[in-house]
Amino acid sequence: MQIQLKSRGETYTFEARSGEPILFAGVRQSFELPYGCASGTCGTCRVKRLSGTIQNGWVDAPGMKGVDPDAREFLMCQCAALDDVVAETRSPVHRAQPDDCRAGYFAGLLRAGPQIARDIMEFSIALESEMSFEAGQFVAIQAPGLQGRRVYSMTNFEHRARRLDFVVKRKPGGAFTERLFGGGFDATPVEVFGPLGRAIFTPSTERHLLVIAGGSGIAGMMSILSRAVEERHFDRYSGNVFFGVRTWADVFYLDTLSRIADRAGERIRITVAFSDEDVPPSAAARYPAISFARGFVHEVAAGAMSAGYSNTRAFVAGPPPAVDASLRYLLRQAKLSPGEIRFDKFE
Amino acid sequence: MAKTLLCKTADIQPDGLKEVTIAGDQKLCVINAGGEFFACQQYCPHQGVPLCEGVVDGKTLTCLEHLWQWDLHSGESTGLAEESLKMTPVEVEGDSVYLKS
Repeated sequence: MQIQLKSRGETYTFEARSGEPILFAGVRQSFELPYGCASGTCGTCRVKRLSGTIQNGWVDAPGMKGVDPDAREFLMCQCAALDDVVAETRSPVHRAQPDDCRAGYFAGLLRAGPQIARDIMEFSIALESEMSFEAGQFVAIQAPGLQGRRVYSMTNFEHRARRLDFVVKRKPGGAFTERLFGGGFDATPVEVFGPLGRAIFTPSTERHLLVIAGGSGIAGMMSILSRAVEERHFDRYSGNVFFGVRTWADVFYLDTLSRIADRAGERIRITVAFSDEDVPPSAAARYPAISFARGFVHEVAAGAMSAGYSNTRAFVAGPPPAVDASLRYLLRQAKLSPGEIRFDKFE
Repeated sequence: MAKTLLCKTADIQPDGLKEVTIAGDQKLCVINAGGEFFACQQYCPHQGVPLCEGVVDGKTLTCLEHLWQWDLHSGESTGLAEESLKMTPVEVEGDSVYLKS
């Protein structure tokens, strides 16, 4: 099927396969399209259909709340073309040069575990072919027998990766995580689409880093910190990392974060914030490279950032209430411009 | 003709926002920007999320969905926003905020 996407007086044309989300078709052919979550939640990839027929894979997607089907609007991440489609977006579209991190479909084997905190489990996908991605990116995973794709951020960073690592929080009633926690994935063949996402860190980010993560929102931040350490970013710039969880039973990655702190040197400061209980007395002695505090993660960050926010790039990820509270703090107190804030809200 | 009352000034804290419904079920977002009051469309022109859940700092309104920003005096974009905001003139008289007559 041929897709024609009109934007600001230009028409961009690409082919889509049968059943393929129109967003994926464009992205894998190196078009920069408007999108955020790529999973039906945020609504950013809304476009207006001018002609042709589409099939909506998820009519009740949360991202449909701002979409008017009567006005022929649809989400590119959830809809496939049934014949040639012409659509229009008000957002800018660009044709990019194909690069190493060009998205595509990858086959792999998904392995679960281990569980590393209450309701938190790691999993990995061994890829049949190499994938290159930027730190902070995510992929969409199609598992057999499950409707729709799940998006998760990689926690690792490697050039030409043959393995993708992830961490997820159990979602009660969620088909993917219930199967994962129930032992239902054991070298299970999956299809991965990616990499996706623009909340990335590259060595050209010549800024101090302010990282605020709630719960499993730390996932993409681990990739960013890995790359920043590898590139010796913290030789020249500071890193302030705030990781919020409810209680000690919910915290994870303390050993990994300690290693990052040791490798990064004195310009990095990693703080774990507990919202629902006091800091355990033994925490500081067990993890001397990490600071611990009681409070919501954005409050702890606001209290600790005494050196100010000049030349700072913020990365925020977590559940929507934590992200919104952090964004309020970054805009009102830290006075960061939106151009210096990268964020990812997930349900 | 009677003025259209939007709310009491005390209903909205400084740098606070409030959804107000006026005639014909039209919804407005009324804003107390450091003591100066404004009203604009209640739904973001981008994805339609309620702007009263946004952030006011100085004379700038930010929608938290994608960080689109506007100048409250003009409704014009001051950053990432690709569309301007429809502002509705208001006036304060005594302890109340009215649609400007």
